Amino acid sequence: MSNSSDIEGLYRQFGGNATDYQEIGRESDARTARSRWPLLVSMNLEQPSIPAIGETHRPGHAAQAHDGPGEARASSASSTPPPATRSSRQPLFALLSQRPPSPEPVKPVSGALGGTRFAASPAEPVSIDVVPPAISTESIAAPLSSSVPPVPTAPTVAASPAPAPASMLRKLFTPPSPDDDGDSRSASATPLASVFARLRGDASASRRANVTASDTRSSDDTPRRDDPRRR
Amino acid sequence: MAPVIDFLLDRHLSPQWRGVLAALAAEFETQLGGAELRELMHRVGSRFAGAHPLPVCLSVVDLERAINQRWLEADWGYVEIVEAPDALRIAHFCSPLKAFGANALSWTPGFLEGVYEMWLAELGGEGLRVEQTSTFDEDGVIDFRVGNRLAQRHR
Repeated sequence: MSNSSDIEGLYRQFGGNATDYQEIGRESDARTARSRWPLLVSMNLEQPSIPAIGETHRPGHAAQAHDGPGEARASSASSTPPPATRSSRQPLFALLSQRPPSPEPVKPVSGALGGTRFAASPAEPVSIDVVPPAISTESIAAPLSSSVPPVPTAPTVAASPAPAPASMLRKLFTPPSPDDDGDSRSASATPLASVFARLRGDASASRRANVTASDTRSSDDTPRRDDPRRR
Repeated sequence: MAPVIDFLLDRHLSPQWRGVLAALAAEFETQLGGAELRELMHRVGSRFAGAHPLPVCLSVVDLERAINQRWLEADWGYVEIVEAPDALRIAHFCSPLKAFGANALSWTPGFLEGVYEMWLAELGGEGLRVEQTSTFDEDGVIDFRVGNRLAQRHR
């Protein structure tokens, strides 16, 4: 036996109006729920009055059906809300869209740890292409030079070289670009065969070779850590 | 080595092989001398280069690009090639040689020597020698010299 029929039965027996009945316990639970879950406050949980059994349920009119309170409550005990009532009442979460906009996210303070830690100074714009744990293959792919004939069988690498790096991290993740300034770009378009011949000591090949002397290291062949090309 | 770079390079090492390679290197060091170990790594590098040949390269730029492509595929860092009047210098950045252990850095760069020597030989540079000319420095770089004469080796 449903709760509503119990209440109505009691009122019929002892007299009184069943609509005056208040479920105090439920109200208390509702207040508790509203305080624990504030989101519920913004939700429209009101149900329209449920028409009596036998009424024609039409969209837009179901909410206007207004039987006696007792009959409405009795009919609600056994009937389910018709689908038409959903369109007549405000969508459940409609009020959510009416809430004031959420506060803007707090922007990081300049100099704080995080992404701004490695931000470049205005004088030295750099970008670090990092893909943890693995490095983005595009960021460290060998740069392509439009002026150099492509290697016949080498796979094409879509790299976009960045400006000359200043930090060691930049150096780690970006190989040298052909667009760098002359001092930093070491490898040239010198024919490899002539380079080999020169290295082997072939004097005639050395005279014919068009070698670009770009090495600034000392003659003792000892590399220095302050070598400008070592960026 | 700068702490940040050291950390990044350490993270760069495969956890699957870091301990295994270090143990392998340590065991090798108990069985072989320094020169033999370097020769062993040199031969290993030659074998690696034979298994991963470079495409045809017409210029030093092509060579650098092709080498970097191979290292990119293997996740072994990258190189800068510098031309000198009497040598070709190769600076290898971010190689994972530390996976063999820091103590093995005295002979494990022999692997790169073998690789570069084989690659250059296959491209027409037969007879050229590739030798390490710097230690694994604080920037994670190892320098090599390609030439026709012996240079002072730096262990």
